[in-house]
Amino acid sequence: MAEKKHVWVDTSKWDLKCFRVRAAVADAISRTLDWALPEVRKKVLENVEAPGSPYPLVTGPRGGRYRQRGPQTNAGTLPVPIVWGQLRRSIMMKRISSQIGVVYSSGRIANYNIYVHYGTRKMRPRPFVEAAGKERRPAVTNRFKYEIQKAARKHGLA
Amino acid sequence: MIRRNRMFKDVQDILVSLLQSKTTSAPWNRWDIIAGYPNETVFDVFEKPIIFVADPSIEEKIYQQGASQKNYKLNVRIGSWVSIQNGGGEELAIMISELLNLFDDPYTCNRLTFDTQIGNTTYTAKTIKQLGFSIIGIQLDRLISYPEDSQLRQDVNLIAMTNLS
Repeated sequence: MAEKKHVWVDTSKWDLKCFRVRAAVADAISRTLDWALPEVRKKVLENVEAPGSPYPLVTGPRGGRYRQRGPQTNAGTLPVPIVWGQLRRSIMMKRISSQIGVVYSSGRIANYNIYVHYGTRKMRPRPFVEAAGKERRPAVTNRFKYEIQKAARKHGLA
Repeated sequence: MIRRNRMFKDVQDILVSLLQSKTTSAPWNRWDIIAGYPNETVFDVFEKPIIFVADPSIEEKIYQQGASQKNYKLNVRIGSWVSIQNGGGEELAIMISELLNLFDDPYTCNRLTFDTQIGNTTYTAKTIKQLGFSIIGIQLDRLISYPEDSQLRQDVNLIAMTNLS
């Protein structure tokens, strides 16, 4: 079987530049995600638990600590008041690939998360994930601009 | 024209008017159109499936070169809500299909004429574009089931761009 030999002459250096651009963009996206995922997760956690929770920790008659339940709110305002912390524990982030990452609330831990997020007939929606994403979007965009400039310099494009 | 200081309410009212203008014919006449997230009183009398137009939210601010004032890209959630008694999943599928059909083609939906009222001014046979914004896209959201109430719900996210002068 004859061996195929391929000779590529890139006299204009166009292919080299394309390769460098692709590498720079991939590098910038990866670095932006490294920064953005914890940032967005932090904001989602802020939306789930306010520093001053309306349900204070109290000591029970046997010495156990539990959260004192108060009147339930259906005002649809953020942050979502914390009761047992199950929804807070369900907030996770996952890096699917070098260029894709997600921040999500796991239904396995808090199966009622969609009812809090989208609302029910008795409770107005409190979109704790969506609101965090919307709020942090300009910051992520700015970070990407900064990272793309840095990557362009690193790959010899600027 | 939508007012800058009442932008959210005006956009919501216009979209409600647009959907209500469709209720003269089937299958839209089987559904109720309401503004805002439905409260408990809506579900006390839940004879017809409902389509609600939630409050718009700002997706992005648009600064055009040379423009004196900025415009906004808005996100409006339009939800369809049915119970098993008044239609169930089949009716929900029809509602979602109709919504997608209405808003999926921006060229067509931005040129539909209907009557509406903004503040104290009544506008007759105006298009969305003439009223100060345009639809640029629609995204389908997830299906939510409420097993305790035997209800189903599916939302669409409408993306609109204001054209404020």
